[in-house]
Amino acid sequence: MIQEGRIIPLGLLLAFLAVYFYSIRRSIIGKPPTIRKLAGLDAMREVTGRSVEMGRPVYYSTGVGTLRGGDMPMTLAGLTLLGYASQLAASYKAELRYWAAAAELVPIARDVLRGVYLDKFREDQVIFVPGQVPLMATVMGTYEREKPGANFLLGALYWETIILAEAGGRAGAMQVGGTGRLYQVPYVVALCDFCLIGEELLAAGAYVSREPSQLGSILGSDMVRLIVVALMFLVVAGSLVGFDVAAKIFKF
Amino acid sequence: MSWVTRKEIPMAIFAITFLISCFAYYLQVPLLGEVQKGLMDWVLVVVTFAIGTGLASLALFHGGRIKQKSKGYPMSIVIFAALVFMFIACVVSAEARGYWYGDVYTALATAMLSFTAFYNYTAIYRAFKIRNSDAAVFAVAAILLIMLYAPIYELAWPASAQIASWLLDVPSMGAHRGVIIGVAVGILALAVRILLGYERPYGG
Repeated sequence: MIQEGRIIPLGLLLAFLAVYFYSIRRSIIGKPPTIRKLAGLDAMREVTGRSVEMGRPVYYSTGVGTLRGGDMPMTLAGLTLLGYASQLAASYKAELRYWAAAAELVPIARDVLRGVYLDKFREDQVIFVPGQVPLMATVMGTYEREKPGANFLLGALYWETIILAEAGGRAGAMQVGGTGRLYQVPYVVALCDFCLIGEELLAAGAYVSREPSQLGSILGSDMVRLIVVALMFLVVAGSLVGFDVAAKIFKF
Repeated sequence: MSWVTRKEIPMAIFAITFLISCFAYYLQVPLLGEVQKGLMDWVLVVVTFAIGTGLASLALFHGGRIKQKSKGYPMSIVIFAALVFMFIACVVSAEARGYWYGDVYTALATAMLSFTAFYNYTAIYRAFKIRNSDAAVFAVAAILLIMLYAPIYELAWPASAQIASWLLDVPSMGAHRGVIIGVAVGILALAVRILLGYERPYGG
């Protein structure tokens, strides 16, 4: 019934899901956990406000990541933050424009922005630029002409990160970047004023919402991480005493 | 649009597809595997339909620029002309498509990529500006890695390659694995939040 070699992973998945459900329930009925400050998310208001004060446009990109495969969670997290960033921009009566590099992101981004701007929403707030090279070329030209005051790069970022962030930097924009894609993290750290690394981007939705149910999932993540670290210690300790845990137990 | 349409239906679609895809990976049930394969085909179909929406967005954006005669609006006319031209070329023959896409567009895209090299240089300058202790560590590590990939430095100072390789294989690899575990745990948490309807990135 269960695929060979996937009994332990399935068991761990179910155990992790149970931990999440427990932590969310505990957070809803009890006291929600206190989570550390994420400078990158806290700075979004300041970055947007500064841009509005300077009378410059606000731009947002989730990179060339799509809603398929491994990019999906990061792109979804980026879209969640698109909602938050557009709320901030709308509260200052400023217009936020979104670069959609994948066709499937266009209707979703429109839906998100329409939900925030309501009758003030304009169709050209979502700019569809298919592909990485056209995106880089368009962004370089647009930022050079329009000099945006805020540039958000949050999602599954690829090689375009360096160009988008550098174009923003040259234009004098304050930038917030975040991705879980390892090879782009150094560029984000080096070029953006504020950054979200790895899991911080994925936890952003829970952080900005401040709802106990969502904060509970962050507590669950910490508990799961502790279990993973304990398993790693088990494997290392087993190896030290000559018992290969990975080969003898995790093979099932 | 009603609350049910905007909240319940997307949630139900996500929950069903998530559970099918998840259990098709773990369980040896041929039916689940077939359904999952069908779902993947549907993803492609939906994405193909979304291209139409994307084109409409493109037309609205550039149409607006032409209508308002914004700065650089002739470029928007070029986009419309290129769109129609490529469509005709693709319909006319596979040879024409191959020529205009493979020989013209790809060459232009490569030229564009080369142009971005200048941005890379200024980005490196910005990254190497030592503003604090973190940036100093970053700059030293980057200089050692540049030395690793330029053989002349290894010739002058053999230890430089060893130090750079150690940086890549030990601290960098350790940090990479830590981030990967964090991302995996974060993805699971995000999936649980969406599955339970607490987080809805697609509006509603």
